[in-house]
Amino acid sequence: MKNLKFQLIKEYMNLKILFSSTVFMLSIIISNIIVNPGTLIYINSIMLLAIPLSFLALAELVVLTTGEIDMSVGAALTLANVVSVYAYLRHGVEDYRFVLIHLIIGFAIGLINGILVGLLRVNSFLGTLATSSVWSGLSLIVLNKPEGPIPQWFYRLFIDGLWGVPMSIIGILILLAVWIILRFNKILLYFYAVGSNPYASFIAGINVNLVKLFAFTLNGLFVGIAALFMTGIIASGDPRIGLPFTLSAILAAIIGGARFTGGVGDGIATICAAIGLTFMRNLIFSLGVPFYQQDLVHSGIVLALLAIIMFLRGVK
Amino acid sequence: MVDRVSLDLKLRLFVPYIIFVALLLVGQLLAPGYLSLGLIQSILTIAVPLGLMAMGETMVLLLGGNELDISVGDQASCAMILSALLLQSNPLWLTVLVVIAQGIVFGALNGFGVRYLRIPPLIMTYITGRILYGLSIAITRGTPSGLAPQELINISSFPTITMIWMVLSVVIVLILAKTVFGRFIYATGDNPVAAYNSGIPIKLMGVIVYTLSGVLGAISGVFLLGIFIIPAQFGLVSSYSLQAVVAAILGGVSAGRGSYIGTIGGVLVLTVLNSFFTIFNIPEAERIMLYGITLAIILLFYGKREKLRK
Repeated sequence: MKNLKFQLIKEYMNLKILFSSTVFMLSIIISNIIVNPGTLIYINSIMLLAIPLSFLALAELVVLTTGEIDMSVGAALTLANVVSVYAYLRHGVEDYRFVLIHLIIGFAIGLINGILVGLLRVNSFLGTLATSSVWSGLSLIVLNKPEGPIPQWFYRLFIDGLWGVPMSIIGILILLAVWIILRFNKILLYFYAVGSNPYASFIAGINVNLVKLFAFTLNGLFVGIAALFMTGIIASGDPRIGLPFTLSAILAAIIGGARFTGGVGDGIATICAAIGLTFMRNLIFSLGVPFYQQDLVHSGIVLALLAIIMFLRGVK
Repeated sequence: MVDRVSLDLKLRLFVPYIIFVALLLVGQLLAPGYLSLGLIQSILTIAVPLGLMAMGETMVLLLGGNELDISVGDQASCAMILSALLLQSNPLWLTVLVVIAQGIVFGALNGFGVRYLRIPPLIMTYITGRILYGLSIAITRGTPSGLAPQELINISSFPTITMIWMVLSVVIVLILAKTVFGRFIYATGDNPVAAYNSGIPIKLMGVIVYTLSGVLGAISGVFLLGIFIIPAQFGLVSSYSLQAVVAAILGGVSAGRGSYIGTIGGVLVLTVLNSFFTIFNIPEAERIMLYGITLAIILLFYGKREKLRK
């Protein structure tokens, strides 16, 4: 509280990030509805599709704030998805254990990445690239083609919702709860400190390597939750589902204010960005762009919006 | 700063070559007859496209800590598909010109986005890669077609292609070591603030380097067409991007430090690793996994953060 002016500037920056990210999301959703009012009917299912990406983006954000990067979130999600379905199909792992196994795999992956990057001080970009390769290979060994089904009750949960509440709303509530708990926890402060100046944090008595390990473990846990939602959505195990999500998640975290140098970033803004990015696909489809040009138009629009956001924020 | 190359750094240039020779010997031990003239020839052919991509990547990585270009593979992929289409009715030189133009446009787009809009390089080059992917799908409507003419196949076979690589390597090593442009790159990577204050046009430099990287990526796509003869499916070639980054980092390149000589070693190591997987007939899944494990083991001895406790 001593440096009040600094505090105010920081808050202002956060508001700017939050504002631009919210505008990003709302403009995409609203233009989507204007172009195709029918979107309102299945807005629930698009929102559900946004949940795994949001969790991955949050996972990426946590690591990015500490000044590291995780290139393995997509492959990690695949591994958690595939191993859980394999355990159900071949060994009959059911009930709450089916949910638990996603989280355990995610946690273990995060721990391994954390040990590699945090304790062994390996360069995070290359280190997680290497582990990403390992997870992809392992997923293909476990299941070499998409297989199903998943437990009946789990599958029904994503259609009927939990006690009548759709899973998309539950997902968003979990996301918000997770971020709010983090926001008012000391650990996030440690992440920001380590990210903005590792040496100063070290002098101040923070165990930098341990904080990084913790960030990666948390990241793994989020990836586990993302995998849980993914399994529910696709209702099967697919060894190639996750890989393209890695860079989308990083993109969402960047729109959410994170930077590769660490120390900044906002969770709510990241969640908004992830939802916006998911609706973008639908927008391209609604606009009636010919099939073979969709990728081109999609990435062109993403680039233009990103350029506008970066320009407005005036990142120095 | 640039002149004072420490002994440590010079030794580091040779590490990838030592790994390369060691891998060759391991291959000979595991499968007698592995080490042959034919193998060396094929390695020196297949390594060239990756070598060219890693050339641009080396310059980009030298520019600074967060700089990297993961669109080179997509540049190559798009150039490969584009040139296969163009070569059906156009001469080779015209095709190469068009492909170079593609490299310039998208390389400059990268440089502009990174330097003037301040989009992080990883994200910027990723999006450019996606645009190139979208472009090649829009051009071919989903199925790449065409065939490499005999002229191109001749250029892309053993002695010629290796010679082209060697000449380009000498040129790039000389440019980096002896010209003002090279000094500027090292100075920018070493300390961007000091470089800016001493009047180096940092932004323009960034755009030029990213453009060069794009052009080299695009040209390697033409060579890939000559080697594979028919254009590969989308996505097959784009995996080269990350390999180019890994090759350069194995070669000891980091912000303001390292040289293309080391990168060549890194390229050779990766090519031999790939040939291992082919020769020992390892299925795709295990191949991906072993690649990751090998990379992780090499990284344990390499590229670590500095200790905070001094």
